[in-house]
Amino acid sequence: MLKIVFLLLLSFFFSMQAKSEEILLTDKVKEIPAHSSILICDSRIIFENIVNEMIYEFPDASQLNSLFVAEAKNAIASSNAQINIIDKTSAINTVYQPHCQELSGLAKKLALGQLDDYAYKILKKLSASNKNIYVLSHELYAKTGPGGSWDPYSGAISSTSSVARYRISLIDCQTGEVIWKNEKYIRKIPDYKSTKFIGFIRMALEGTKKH
Amino acid sequence: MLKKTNLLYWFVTSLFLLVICGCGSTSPRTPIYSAAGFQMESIPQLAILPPYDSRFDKKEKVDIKKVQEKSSKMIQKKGYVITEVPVGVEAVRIDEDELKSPNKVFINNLCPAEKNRYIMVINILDVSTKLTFGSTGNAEISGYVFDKDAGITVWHDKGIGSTGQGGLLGMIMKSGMDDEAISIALYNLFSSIPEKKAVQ
Repeated sequence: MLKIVFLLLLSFFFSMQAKSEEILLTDKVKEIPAHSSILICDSRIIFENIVNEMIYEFPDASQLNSLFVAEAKNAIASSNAQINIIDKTSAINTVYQPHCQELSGLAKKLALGQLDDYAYKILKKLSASNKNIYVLSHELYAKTGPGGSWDPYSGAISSTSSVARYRISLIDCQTGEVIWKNEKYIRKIPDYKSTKFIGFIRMALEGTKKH
Repeated sequence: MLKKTNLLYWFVTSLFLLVICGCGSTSPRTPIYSAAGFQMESIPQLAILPPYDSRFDKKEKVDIKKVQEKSSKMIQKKGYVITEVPVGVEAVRIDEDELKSPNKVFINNLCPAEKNRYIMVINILDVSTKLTFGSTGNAEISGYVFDKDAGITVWHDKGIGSTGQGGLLGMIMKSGMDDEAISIALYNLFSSIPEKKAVQ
């Protein structure tokens, strides 16, 4: 009996050691000057079936996007209150409005920090209206698959292969330089309203506070 | 004690491989993508590039050369003539989206020196193991066959490998779970490639 208790405790200990999330990449190149503006794009949200690669629409995608934008705004505001934050809503009837739509279409490239000529062109247009403007771009790529299983006859077990990756980048519109980017993943995707998921997003945005 | 568990591990793995080999005679499943009118059996020779390692979680060590060798063996068993493009110093990360919708330039740049018309790209997307009261392993691998002359994708599929064993035995077997998951993923990936019948 004691042996069983010991083994259960041992397995619990090991499972606690297995972290499900990691910050993978954090580049800090330069700091954003005070009184700069950061334009937060709408996030690119992709949900894919891991087995057949079918992309499906996440029913609460707009709420999820609002969550990302709100968390990004909080992270930036808490680091530097002097930074002017612009999002899709606050950009209405401003010079930034037409660019918001264009940048949303480029979210994947921007989040990766891989800019092509077209992306540079859009960023240049933005910097023409404001020299100190930066773009924060983000992408959530979730792959969902079968859950875990246990076969009581053979003792075979399996764990879920679902995984979500969140990528963010902060780009200087004037130079097109990626001044900060981060990539973070989480296995066993939790409900997006849960504190675990919000914590995951906050950790990914942690680096923005250093600027 | 350790030798006995090792033996047991290899016994279980061999038994599993025997079971999946026994299932190998069934008709191939439909791949995610196959070019219209393209017959995989018509490929005279297939060059397998060193697998790309596009995992965002690289905690598990993956032997790229071993993955290439396993892939070659599995495809050779189906009757195809294979050329292995030598593995470089370091595995390169490639964007899966670029592989999904490539242009002619991208395909030609994959391996400019390769003379074969058909090249296979294997992209390791994820490999993970987990220790609980037992251990599990998961692997996600995608595969592409490109026609360099036409500059198009002719075949694309995905293989998911999931394995695990509960209990103390499973906990001991954790170190082998990644390898086993990769083998299953590769087996599933190539299960949509039909066997090539010998020319009479």
